[in-house]
Amino acid sequence: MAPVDPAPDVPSAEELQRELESVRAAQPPDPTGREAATAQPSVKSLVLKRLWRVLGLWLLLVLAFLAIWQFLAP
Amino acid sequence: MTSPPKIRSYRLDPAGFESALKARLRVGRRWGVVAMVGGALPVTVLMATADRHVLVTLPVVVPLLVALLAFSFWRGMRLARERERPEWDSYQLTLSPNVLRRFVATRPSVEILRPEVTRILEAPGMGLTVSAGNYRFIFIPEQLEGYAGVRERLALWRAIEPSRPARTKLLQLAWMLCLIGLWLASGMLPNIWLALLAGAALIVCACFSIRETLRLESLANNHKARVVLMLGFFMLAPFARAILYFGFGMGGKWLR
Repeated sequence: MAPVDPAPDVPSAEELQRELESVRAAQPPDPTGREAATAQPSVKSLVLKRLWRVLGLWLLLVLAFLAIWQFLAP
Repeated sequence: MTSPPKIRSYRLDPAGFESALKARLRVGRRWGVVAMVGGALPVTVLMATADRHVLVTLPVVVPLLVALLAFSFWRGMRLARERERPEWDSYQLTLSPNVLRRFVATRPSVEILRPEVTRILEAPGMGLTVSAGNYRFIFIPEQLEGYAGVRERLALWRAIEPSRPARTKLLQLAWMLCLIGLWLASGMLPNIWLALLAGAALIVCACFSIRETLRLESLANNHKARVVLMLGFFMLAPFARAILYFGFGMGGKWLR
């Protein structure tokens, strides 16, 4: 038998917003004392910060291929 | 006047961390072996077809690959324990009649309203996944204190369906093998135009993966940046091939 989807008694948007704010306010403090990820830097800035490593590794591999090619070439 | 909604917060059982981690990694290992065999076998057959001397190297290469796999499993376990313990300790699930909120330190909080729920999946031995569309979801491990009560309340939101983890894993594996295959083809196909075509397909597939990763709301920015950089590195392969071929006349003679 297929599962029956319970009919929801959906509250209004304002009621939902109020409830959401109550839930946020009721959230107990984090016992590990860590910061929430909302304060994290953006993906763009993180990528730009580490991009040179990726490009450097790529350049190194290209140069290594070239060196091997020169070495193996007759 | 309406009464305030009934709100309750739940945490994960601290003693359940090890068993949950081991169960998850056990599944990961199984698929890791499938990926390794599924990827290495066709490559070995192809290379052995081109040059029978490849078979002589197998007694060295196979134990080396097995050792590499064992090392990666051991390291994966260590890293997972280090990274996931703080997440496990800080996990908090708050549930009211119409709102579900998950808090994990170092990750963005995820909130799902009852009317937004599109699917609730249950994986036996793992837990529940409550989804709101394709990019926002909350995973509730079975080790949650009060799991049965939460499950009962969520069942009133939407019917709980059994999940098909094998199908999802197979799709992920196929996608990963497709990316690796295109990456290898763009670097190793003797015909430069076919190699560049594979490179173009690789860029399209990697861009699609990046777009999907960036849309996921429950991933930390740090994790998203790592995925973007890794796929970016993959996408540089066709450029390297073009530079080596057109700039230095380096062909794909090793496969001829």
